[in-house]
Amino acid sequence: MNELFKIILSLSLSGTILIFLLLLLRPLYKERLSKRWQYYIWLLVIVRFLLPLTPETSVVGNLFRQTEQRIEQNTMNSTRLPSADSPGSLRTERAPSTELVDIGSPGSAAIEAGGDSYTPPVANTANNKLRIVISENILFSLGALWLVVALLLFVRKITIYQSFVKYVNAGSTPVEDMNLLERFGRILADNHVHGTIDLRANSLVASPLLIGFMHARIILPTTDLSEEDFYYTILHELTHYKRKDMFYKWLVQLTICLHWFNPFVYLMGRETNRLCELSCDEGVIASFPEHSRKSYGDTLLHAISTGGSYKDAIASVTLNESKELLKGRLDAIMKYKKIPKTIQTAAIFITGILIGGAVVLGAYAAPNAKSSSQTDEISESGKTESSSLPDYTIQYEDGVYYIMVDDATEDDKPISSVTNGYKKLVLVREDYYATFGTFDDHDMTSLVNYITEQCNTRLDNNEITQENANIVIQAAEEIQHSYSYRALEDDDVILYNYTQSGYYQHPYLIWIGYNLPANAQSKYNGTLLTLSDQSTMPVWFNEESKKFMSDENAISAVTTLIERMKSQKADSSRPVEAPIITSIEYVGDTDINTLAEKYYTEDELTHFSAIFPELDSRTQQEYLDHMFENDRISFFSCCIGELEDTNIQKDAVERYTLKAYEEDKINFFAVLSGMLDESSQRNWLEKCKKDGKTNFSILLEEDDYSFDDFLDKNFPDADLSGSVFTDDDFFNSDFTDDDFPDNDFLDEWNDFQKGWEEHEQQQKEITNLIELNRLTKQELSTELQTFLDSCDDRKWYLIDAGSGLQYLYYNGLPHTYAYEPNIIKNVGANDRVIIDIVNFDFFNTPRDRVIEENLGNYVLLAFSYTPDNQDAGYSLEVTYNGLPVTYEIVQSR
Amino acid sequence: MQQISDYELELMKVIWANGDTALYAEIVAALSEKGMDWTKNTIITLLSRLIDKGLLKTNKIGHRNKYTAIVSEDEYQSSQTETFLHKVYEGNAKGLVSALIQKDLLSAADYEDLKKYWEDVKEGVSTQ
Repeated sequence: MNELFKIILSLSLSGTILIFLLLLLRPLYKERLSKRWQYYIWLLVIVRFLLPLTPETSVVGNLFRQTEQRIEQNTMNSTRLPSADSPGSLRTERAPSTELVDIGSPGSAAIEAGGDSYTPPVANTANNKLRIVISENILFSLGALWLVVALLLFVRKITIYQSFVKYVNAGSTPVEDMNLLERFGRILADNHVHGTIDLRANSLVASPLLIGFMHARIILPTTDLSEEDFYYTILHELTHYKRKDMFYKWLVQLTICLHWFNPFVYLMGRETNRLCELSCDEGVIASFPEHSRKSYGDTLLHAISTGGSYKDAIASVTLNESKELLKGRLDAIMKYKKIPKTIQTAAIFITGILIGGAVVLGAYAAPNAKSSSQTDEISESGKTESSSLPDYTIQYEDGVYYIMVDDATEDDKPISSVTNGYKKLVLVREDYYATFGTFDDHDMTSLVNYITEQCNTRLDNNEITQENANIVIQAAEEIQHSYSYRALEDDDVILYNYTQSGYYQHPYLIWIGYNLPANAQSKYNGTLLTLSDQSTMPVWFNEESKKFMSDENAISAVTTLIERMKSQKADSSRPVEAPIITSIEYVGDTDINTLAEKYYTEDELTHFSAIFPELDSRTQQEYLDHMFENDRISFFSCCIGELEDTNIQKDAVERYTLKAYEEDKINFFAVLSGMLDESSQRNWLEKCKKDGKTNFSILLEEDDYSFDDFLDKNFPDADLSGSVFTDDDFFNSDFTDDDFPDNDFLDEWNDFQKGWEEHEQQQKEITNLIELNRLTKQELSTELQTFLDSCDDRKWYLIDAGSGLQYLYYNGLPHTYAYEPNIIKNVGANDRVIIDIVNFDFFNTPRDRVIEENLGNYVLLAFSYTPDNQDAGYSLEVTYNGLPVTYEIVQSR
Repeated sequence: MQQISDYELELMKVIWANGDTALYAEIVAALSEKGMDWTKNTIITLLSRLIDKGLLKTNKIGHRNKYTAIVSEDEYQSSQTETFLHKVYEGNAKGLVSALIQKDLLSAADYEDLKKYWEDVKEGVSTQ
């Protein structure tokens, strides 16, 4: 009991200091860092308050131990001293009276010398013993008092909450308005909420609130809300639901109960409550265009005027709390701006300081073996002094940096290690490996920061040891350093991501990297190419390829290739700029199929992948099948992304994913799963989890170690669909894990989704002939941009850019827009394609056509259409809110 | 018996029509056939409410939840009729039947059938 109480006292002190540290740093982050960060950073304080984890030497731990030792020493000295000198002590123990008799003997001299500063030892010992007994007694009663109060408080909070939930439920009526329920259901679906939430109304509640852990309900004070108010209210509550704020609030409540004697935990309670709302608001408005923010603020204001008076002060999650808080929230909403990247690094920095603080502060750890603790400490500190990291080597293979620590062998390497375009670090030790990443070439300059951040989160979760983290961070430093060095000096083709940079351009194979950094350009030989439109473009050659600079045929092949690449990547986010030719190989007139076969059998991956995109799609399929059957994973991972037609590629990826899953080929699955779109990744993740294939599901887990994920991982059952647990069950029954229903609806849901996908597939067969993409001007080539700038405002254009691609362009729209393609098939005559540009309506425009960000007031759609009967052609009509517009057809060159 | 909403009744009808028991996927399919493409949340919320009201129970088949009607369609109809009779006709069944006949809701053929049914029941009682 006493040890427990001491631990609590030390935790309380430790946590309080951390609160001060957080408040001290507040001017640094208050206006700059996201409210979400400010909210979750309190979790660190809570952890400090709750978990008695402590390093060997910590500030608070030492403080406590010192105090303890001082008391102990006092007793020790006084009890031990007499026994230290045998003659004196014997006598003292036998009979105090003899001592008085023997004054002047050697024994008594010793006593006098040793006990100089002490009053007669006997009385002293007794006195001290008494003092210790008394203080132990006091400590015990205080400890008992603390425990009783803490328990009472917690039980009381739970019962109050329970009865609150009961009252609110009993007085509530289920919302039966189908229109409202369906709107609610759609908002849930749009926000990827997996669980089921009941919607109820109770005119007694003060504001909309979310209650229930297992069987969540949103209770509205009234259903008589405007469409917007309803939308925002629900969105707000859903954000709480998705962030599992209920658990957070209860964690705070638990802390308050355990540290009830500490006034600062109440301060913490208020702060977290306030930040919970602020960060929730922030999450809600993050996805809004600016003008909607005001409407959201209006909703908050409306909410306080409609509510009843029944209010839960403990832990329900409500839309508004008090008027004072409301004012702060409205302020924050209007001031909201996205946090720039640089500031986010500051967030990491401050987080680092605070975590460091939390660890250093530590807590009092109950001394289990008092006698040996001293020596332990010495040997421990000796170890840290002499401990340098174990030796390791870094190997690079197919996008993976293996950190091979000396105790590891090749067998310890994971089997699946090929990534698709992305890179990662794998720490390999004896019978152990851990993966870090992923990142790509663009992240290389900040690799150390990125990896350090990952290590810190994993350290917090106790997923890796400090030593392993240190190794990985040090290795990352080396890799980052050597990378920046190599990028400037070395001409290793790997740097240019060879999977995408070998090309066949008759009669050469050309390896090309692009976006050569400006400061590296001077190290290479540059020349100007004249493109077919008479514009010029600088190209660089390295030591190996520079002999081709004077070869006219080679230069013309390079020119053709670059033009081809430019046109292919015209709409991609990484345009072809500053290319560097790293290697050219003359292959003559040999047929590409023969070449492919040769390189495939000779295991020449870089050569093969250059040829692969040129093969016809049937041959490509055959090769992929062969690679899959024969486990040629590196070939497979390079080629699967090179299928030209996006639909064929998508089909292929889905087919092979299924195959890899069924045949347990985890390495293929790893490559393929990265290429799936987000929703099918999510489906696969659920399937893997359900089938218990953890090794597969790990591949699909998000890398982002957020609090949500932490909760998902640790309370996987909290988010169940269709579970029928109520709060009362939650608190009253001694349930075991088995009592939690499994994901009952998963099967039904998957079946349902499969049916839906089939339905969509049929729809797609009709519309996949049309390609229609929304663009920003920045995504176009500079020529096209200049061309657009020369266009008149408020005039519709159909721009023919050659190669079958057309752009629809209009400048000067007064608002954002959505669009609806529509094909009317006329058998035997021309098809009619109608593109309707419509006013963007926040509530009624289907979500997939909604523009997330205001792209500017222009319409820019890339458009192509292939009618069934190619000879017949088609007519294109553009309508604006249903009314036809006339457009001018222009050539861009 | 607790009153249920029109939409909950739709769900009950689907389950009754499916042989008093149905899986979620079957319910979705049946609703969709009727042109009622409700969201997942709506359907499951309504199902849970029906469970709370004691009209349904769930049990698991493998990983799926199976919904089984505790109250059969006949039971539901007769109890609803009884409620209706008491509420509107204050227990006067004759009034109800005459209203049905007056409004042509009960055809002559129906009436003959009912009469025969009534005779049978009476005979059954007297032969016992």
